[in-house]
Amino acid sequence: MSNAIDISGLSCAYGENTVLKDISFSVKSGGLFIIIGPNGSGKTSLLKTISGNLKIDEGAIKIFGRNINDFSRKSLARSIALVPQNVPTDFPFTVKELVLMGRSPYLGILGLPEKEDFEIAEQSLAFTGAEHLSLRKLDQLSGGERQLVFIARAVCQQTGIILLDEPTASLDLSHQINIMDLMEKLVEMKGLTVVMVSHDINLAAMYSDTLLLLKSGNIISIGKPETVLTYKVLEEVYGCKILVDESPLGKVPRLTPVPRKYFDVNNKLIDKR
Amino acid sequence: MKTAPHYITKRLLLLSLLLFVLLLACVFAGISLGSTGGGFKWVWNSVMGQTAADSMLNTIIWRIRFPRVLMAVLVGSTLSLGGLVFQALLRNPLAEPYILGISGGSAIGAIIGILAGLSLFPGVSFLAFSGSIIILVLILVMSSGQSILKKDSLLLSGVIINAFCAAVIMFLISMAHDSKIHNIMFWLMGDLSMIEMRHVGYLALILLPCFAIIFIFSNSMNLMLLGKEMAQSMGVNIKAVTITLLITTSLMVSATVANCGLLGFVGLVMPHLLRLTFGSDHRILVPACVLAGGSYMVLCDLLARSLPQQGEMPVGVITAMIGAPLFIFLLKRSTR
Repeated sequence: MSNAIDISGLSCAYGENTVLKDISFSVKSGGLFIIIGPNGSGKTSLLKTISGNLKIDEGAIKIFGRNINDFSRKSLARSIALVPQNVPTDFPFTVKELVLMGRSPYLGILGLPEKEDFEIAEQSLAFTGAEHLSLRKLDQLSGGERQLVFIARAVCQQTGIILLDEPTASLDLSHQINIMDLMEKLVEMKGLTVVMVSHDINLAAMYSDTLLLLKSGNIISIGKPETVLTYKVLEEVYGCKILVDESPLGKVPRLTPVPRKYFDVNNKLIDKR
Repeated sequence: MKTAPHYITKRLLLLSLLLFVLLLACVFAGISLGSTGGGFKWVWNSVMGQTAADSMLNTIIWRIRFPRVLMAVLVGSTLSLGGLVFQALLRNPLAEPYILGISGGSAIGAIIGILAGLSLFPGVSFLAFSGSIIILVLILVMSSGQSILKKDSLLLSGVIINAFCAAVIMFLISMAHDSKIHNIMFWLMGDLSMIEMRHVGYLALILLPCFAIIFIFSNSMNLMLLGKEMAQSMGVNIKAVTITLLITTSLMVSATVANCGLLGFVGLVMPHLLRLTFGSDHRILVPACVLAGGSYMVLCDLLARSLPQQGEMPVGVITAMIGAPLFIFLLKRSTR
């Protein structure tokens, strides 16, 4: 079984609104899979269905070859961990308490951890490079630090798959790279399958093994970054002029959306160089 | 290989023991102090089995003051715990049964029961429970959709419902016969003065299982504070836990309202204080709320009995006078 996730004929709706339309694709086990697309294209909904948070209307999702409906809540939680966007922190737990919560799928209803669970939590914090934050409270952390400890909590859940919803949103450049490097480390050192939603296509192009491009609930393209990110497809999907060339780093596509001031009256691109 | 009970368990036991001692001390003070005498030494001797000669004092202390203090413990525990649960479920540090109007709904039910001449149990209690459930559903509908977690819309719903409940209560009172009005008014403001041991027993039978149920779900509440998606992805059955906790909490709040009327803001003061001291882990906070909430109410009742020169005032006056300023403080801080 080489696929972590198999999705076939998946459709989902929020009330009247169909957000995913007859989608089929597979995610190979062990790799960084990034979902991109414009706002409202169904990226987050797709992530929610895979994590079991959104009802499937049609089609099927298989996790490591097993239908998602055959999992109990707890056993699904032992296979998939989720790092959502905007986790509320109005009730300030300490970082250690938060990371330990990742153990709850393995514990009784009171979630009382054993010595072993403590060790796993410590290792997870060390793995993400956040062990120095262990005693801090969640509401005292910066955006980048908060993201690190939420990822540590997901690692502590010891699942084969980790889903993340825009983990680099509103982070500065060094934290973005830091988080993405960590994703790569998860794949390489722990053999995990990481599936994430991202708005930052350039970042996605540099790190992803596979890109999935969505638009209004349909798959436009799936594959390696250099095959998905062509100027023609992007222009159609995003509805704006986008230049694609090669990044100075090598064989990685680089996108440059073009501002209006670079067009003349005939809608032709002006070369201002 | 099993390891020794780990630090959460140890911490839980230690804190519970500490707060239990505090509760015992408060109960002891509550029984000993009062206008008709007694004092620590007298009660201590009486507890130790050295029969006191003064049978009059004996009656006052063990038949009147003792049930009253026990009732204060139960009510304080329930309301603190009720506040804690609502705050966790609605993820809103300002939520509380009284502020949300749950208590008001119970009061309407209870007054209808009293006016109809029903007995406290099961008639009045059942109507109080029904009232609280109706209000609960109303709040959930009014602030339904995504906005249920928004502080403002939830509190606004509560304020409106509370105003409506107050109007209905005044309407019912204006329809009542003169002889019942004084009783209802006093009860409404939170009254512990007419308690019999029998009532304490009934109430304990309802409340103690509720406390246990809430403790069982204490870790689920922890996880749910991280948001619906995150909790679900860690294996929590959100719907089942939410419904169980809401019904359990409404049941215990309405049971105390039926017995002692409206005591506001208790569910705000204690959970907040305890969260500041012990952190956000509900496995600690649930037992802490039960024990410290009980102590707090005994002390409030003691104040209510001893502050006035003559007679006493309803304990609801004290809890509101302490709670309302704190509420404003919290509101100001949370909107910053």
